[in-house]
Amino acid sequence: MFQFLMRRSLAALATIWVISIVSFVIIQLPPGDFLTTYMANLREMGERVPEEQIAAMRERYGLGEPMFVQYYKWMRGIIQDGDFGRSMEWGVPVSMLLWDRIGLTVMVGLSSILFVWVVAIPVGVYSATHQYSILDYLFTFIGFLGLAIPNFLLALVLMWIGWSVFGQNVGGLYSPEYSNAPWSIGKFIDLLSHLWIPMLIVGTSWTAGLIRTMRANMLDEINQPYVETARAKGLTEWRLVWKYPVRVALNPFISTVGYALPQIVGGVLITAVVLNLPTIGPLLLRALLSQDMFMAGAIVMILSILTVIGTLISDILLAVFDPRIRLE
Amino acid sequence: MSDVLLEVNDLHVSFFLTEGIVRAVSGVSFQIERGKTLGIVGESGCGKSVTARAILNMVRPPGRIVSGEINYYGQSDTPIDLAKLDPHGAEIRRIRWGEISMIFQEPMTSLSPVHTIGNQMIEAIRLHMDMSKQDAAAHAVGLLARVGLAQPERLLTRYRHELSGGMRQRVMIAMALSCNPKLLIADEPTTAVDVTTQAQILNLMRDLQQEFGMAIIFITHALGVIAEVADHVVVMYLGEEAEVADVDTIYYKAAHPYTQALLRSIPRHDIKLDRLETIEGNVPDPMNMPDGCKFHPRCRHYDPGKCANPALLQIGEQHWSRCARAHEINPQLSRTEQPS
Amino acid sequence: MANVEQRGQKANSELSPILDADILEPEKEKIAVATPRQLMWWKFRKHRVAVFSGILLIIFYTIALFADFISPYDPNAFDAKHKFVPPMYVSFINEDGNFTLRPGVHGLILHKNPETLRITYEKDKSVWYPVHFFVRERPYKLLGFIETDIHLFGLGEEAGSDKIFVLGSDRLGRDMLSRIFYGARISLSIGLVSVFLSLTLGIVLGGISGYYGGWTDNIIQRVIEFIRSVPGLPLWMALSAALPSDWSQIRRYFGITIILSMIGWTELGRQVRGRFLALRTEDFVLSARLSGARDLRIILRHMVPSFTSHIIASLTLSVPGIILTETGLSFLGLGLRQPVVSWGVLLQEAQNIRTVALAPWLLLPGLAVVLTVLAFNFLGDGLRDAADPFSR
Repeated sequence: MFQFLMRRSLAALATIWVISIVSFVIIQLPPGDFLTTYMANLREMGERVPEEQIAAMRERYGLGEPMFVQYYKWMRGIIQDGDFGRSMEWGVPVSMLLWDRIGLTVMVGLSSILFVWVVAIPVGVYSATHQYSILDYLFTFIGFLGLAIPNFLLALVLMWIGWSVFGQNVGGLYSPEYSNAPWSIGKFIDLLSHLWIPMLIVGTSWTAGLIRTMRANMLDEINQPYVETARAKGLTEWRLVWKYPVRVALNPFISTVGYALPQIVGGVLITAVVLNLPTIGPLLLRALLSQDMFMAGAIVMILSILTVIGTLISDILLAVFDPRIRLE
Repeated sequence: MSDVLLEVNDLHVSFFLTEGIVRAVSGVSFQIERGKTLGIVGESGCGKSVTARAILNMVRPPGRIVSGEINYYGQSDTPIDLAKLDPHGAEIRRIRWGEISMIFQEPMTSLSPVHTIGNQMIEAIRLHMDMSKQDAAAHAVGLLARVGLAQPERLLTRYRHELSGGMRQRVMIAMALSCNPKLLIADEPTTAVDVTTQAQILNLMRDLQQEFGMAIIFITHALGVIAEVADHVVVMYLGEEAEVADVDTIYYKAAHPYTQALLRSIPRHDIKLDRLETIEGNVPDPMNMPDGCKFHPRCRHYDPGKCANPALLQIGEQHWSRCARAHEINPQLSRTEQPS
Repeated sequence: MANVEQRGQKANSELSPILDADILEPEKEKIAVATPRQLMWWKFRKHRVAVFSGILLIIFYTIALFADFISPYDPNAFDAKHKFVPPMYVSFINEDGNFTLRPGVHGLILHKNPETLRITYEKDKSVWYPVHFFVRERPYKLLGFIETDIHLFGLGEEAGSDKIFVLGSDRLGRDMLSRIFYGARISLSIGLVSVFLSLTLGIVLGGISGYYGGWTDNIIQRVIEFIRSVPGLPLWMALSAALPSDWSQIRRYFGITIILSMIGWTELGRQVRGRFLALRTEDFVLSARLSGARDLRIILRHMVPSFTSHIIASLTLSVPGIILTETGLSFLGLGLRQPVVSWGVLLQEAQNIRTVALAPWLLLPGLAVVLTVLAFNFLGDGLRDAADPFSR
C-alpha cells in the first residue's frame, strides 16, 4: 500500500511538473514580452512608472534572459512566495485575484461530483437490475440526451426559463445583498441556495455518462457466479445486489470519476461563464480574450494541478476499496 | 419419514427471449433419496444446470419455471413444492443454503473478489444459524480445517485471488456445508480444476457425505466421474431425460444411443483403442430443435419408420430409456422385462 | 442472421423431418460463407435507432453540402427592417381561408413601443405571399463548380422587401434558417476533419506503441496519460486564444481543427494500441512475420483490416465530443469568429439572457447540435454492437 502511494504520488508530481512547463509555454505564446505590453497599457492610461520599478520587474521575471532562466525564475516565485506573476489587465499580482474564486470553483466542482454520484449509482443499479424495463429505457434515453446537450446550452435554457417563467435571474452564486458581505451563516445558506443550479447543470451531462458506465459495469457483474452463490445462500435480492455486484461495479466506477474530473472542471468553467458565477471560469475567459497571459497561464496551471490531485485522491480511494489493486 | 428427499415431477423451464422461446428443460422427472448421490450427465446446453437452479427456485428472467413440481420432503412427510414458492420469499430463502446448498463450476468466480473468505462464510452461517459473530467464525474455522485447508484462521482474512483453484473449491465446499444442508447440489465442481485436484475433491466429497449424511446431486458432463460418486444417474439430452437408471445399469446395460456414445468416448484402461470415439455432430440450435426424437440427427440407429416420437419407456425395474429401439440396440436387455 | 433462422424454422414446419434435414444444409452453408462485413450489416440493421440516426445524419450532411441551394437567403445579409422576427407559420390555408397546395405566409406589421423601443410584429392578414419553388436569385456555384442562381424556395419578386423567416431572424435581421444550414457546413465538417486527423495520429502513435512496445510504448503511453489527466477545456481555450488574430478564416478553421483533434486522438490511440497488443501474438501475424513480410506490410495488410470495424465505431463515437467542444469554444468567442457561420458562432448571439428572453429562437442552433450529437452517439453505439457480430 505504501509503495502504491509513493508510486502514484511521484507520477502526480511528474505530471504537475509537465503542467508547469505547458503553462509557461502558454504564457510565452503571444508575441512580445508581457512587460512591454504592460507598460504600454499603463502609459495609455497616463500613468508613469519609475525606471527602477521596471528594472526590478525585469530582474524578477528574468525578461530578456534565456527561456529556461525565465521558467526557473517564474517557478521559484510560485514555490517561494506563491507569486504567479502580475495580471496586466488588473495591474496586481495574479494570486490576489485567484484564491477566493478557486475556493468557489472547487466547491461547485465537488458538489457536482457529489450530485453525480448520488444520482448515477442508484439509477445505474436500477437500470441494470431491471434491464429492458420502461424506466431503464427512459434512463438510457435521458442519459443520451444529457450527453448531447452542451453544458452552456442547458445553462442558457435554465436561465431563460428562470427569467421568463419566474421573472428572476438565476445566475450568480449570491443574492445581491450578500455579494459583498463578509462570511456569515446567512451568506453560506444563500450560497447553497444558488449552488444547486450550476451543480445540476454540470452534473447532468456527467450523470448521464456515469449512469451508462454504472449500468454496463453492473451488467458485467450481475450474472457472475459469486452473485449466484450469494443468492443461493438465501440473501434477499436487495441485500445481495448492494453487497456484491454493486460493490464490485463501483471499482471501475471510481476510476472513471478520475477520468471524468478533467471534463467536470471544463463543465464548471463554461457553465460559470454563462451563469456569471464568481468562479475562475469567467476570469480565465476574460484573461484569454485580453491576452492577459500570466493570469491565463496561472489559471490553467492551478486548474490542472487541482485535477491531478483529484485524480490522485480517486486512485487512492480505489486502492482502499479494491483489495486486488492494493496487492499489485 | 420416507426415504425420498426430493422429487421432481414433469419439470418444464423455458427462456423467453426476443428471438423465440428456448425450452431448456421440458418434462424432466427424477427423485433422490436421503444420503444418496444422484448424477445428472449431459453435454453443455442440455438443461442440467438449469434443472439445478430450478430446484433452488433461482431461474432468472427471462427464464421461468413453466410447470411441474419440485417436492421437497425436508422436515416431514408433507412436502413443500419449491417450484410454487415465491422466488424472493422468506420460505425459499430459508431453504436455500439452510437445507439445500450449492457449489458451482468456477470456484474462481463463485467467491466475491472484494470480500474476505471469512466475511462470506460468516454471512452464510449467521443467516441460517443463530450464532454470534465469534461463534460463526469458530464454526467456519472448523469447517475449513475439516476440508483439509491449512491455517484456517488466517484463511478467514484472505481474498479469493490469494488462493489456488483447489483451495477455492475446498472453501466453497466448506461454505456449502456450513449450515448442515440435507442436500448439496454440485454443479460441475471438478471441471475447472486439474486432474489430481479433481480426484482429491471427489474423495473429499465422498468422505464428507459419510460424515454429514447429506444427499448430493452431482452435475457433470463426464460420465467417468459419475461412476466414482453416484448411486443413480440421469442422462439428459436437450432438456429431456435420455436414460435413467442406477449407476451399474448405465455402465453395463445402457439402452440409449446417446448414453452408449457417451460411454464410448470415455478412455478405458481395459480396452485398447487407437483413438477415442466422439459423438458425431453438434448440439442442435436451441431455437431450432429437431422434430421427433431429438437425438435423431446424431443417431447411428435412426430409423424414420420407428423413431417418430419416443416416450420415456420403462425397460427394467429401475431403468427408463427414451429410445424406441432400446431393445434392438441393447440385446442384453431380457425380453421378459419388457412391459406387456 | 435472424432472417436465415426464421427461414430455417419456416422450412421446418412445412416439410417432413427427413426432407427438412436436406433443405437445411444449404442454408447452413450460407451462414458459413457470410463475410464479417455482412454479419456486421445484419446486426446493425436490427438496431433501429442506429439506422434512423444514420439516415438523419445523411440528411444533415446533404443539407450542409447543398446549403447554398436550399437556403432562401444569404446567411450574412443584414436587414434593418426585420430584426428579431419570430418564426413564421407556413400555412396551407391562403388569404381567402381556402386550402391550397402551395403554402404561403402572411405579411408583417411592425409595432414599436414608444417607451421601451421594443419591436413587436403582428400578422398582416391582408397580405399573402405564396412560397415559390426554384426561384432565381443570388448566383452561386453549386458544389463549388456548377454556376447557377436557382434556389429551392423563396417568396419571389412579388414580395418586394418582405421576406420569409421560417425560423425567425436575429438582431441584424439575418435569416436563422439559412444561417443554421450554412452553419452545418462548418460544424459538421469540423467534426469529420478533426476526427480524421485524430485517427491518423491515433493509428500512427497507437500503432507504434502497440506494435513495437518497449520504451516507445512507454513514452507514448505517458503522453496519453498526461493529456487525459489534465482538464482539456482550459488548455484548448488557451491554445485557441493564442492563434494570431490576423489569420485568415481558412487558416483559423484549420488551426481550430488541429487543436480539436488533439482531444480525440488519445482515446483512439489507446484503443489501437490495445488491439495491436492483442493481435501481435496472434498466429496469423506471427506467420506473416516468419514469412518475411516487412513491418509496414504486416501492419497495413494483416493487422489494420482486422479491427477496422471497431475503429469505425470509435470514430463515430468521438465526433460528438469534437462538435461539442467546437460549439463551446466558438460560443465563448475563442473558436471560430464572425463572419464564419458555425452553430457555436450562432449560439454566441444567445449569450445575453435578455436577448434570449426576447428571441428564444436564437437557441435553435443548439437544437441542431443536440440532434447531431444524439444521432452520432446512437449510430456509434449501433456500430459498436455490430462490430462484434458474435457477441450477444
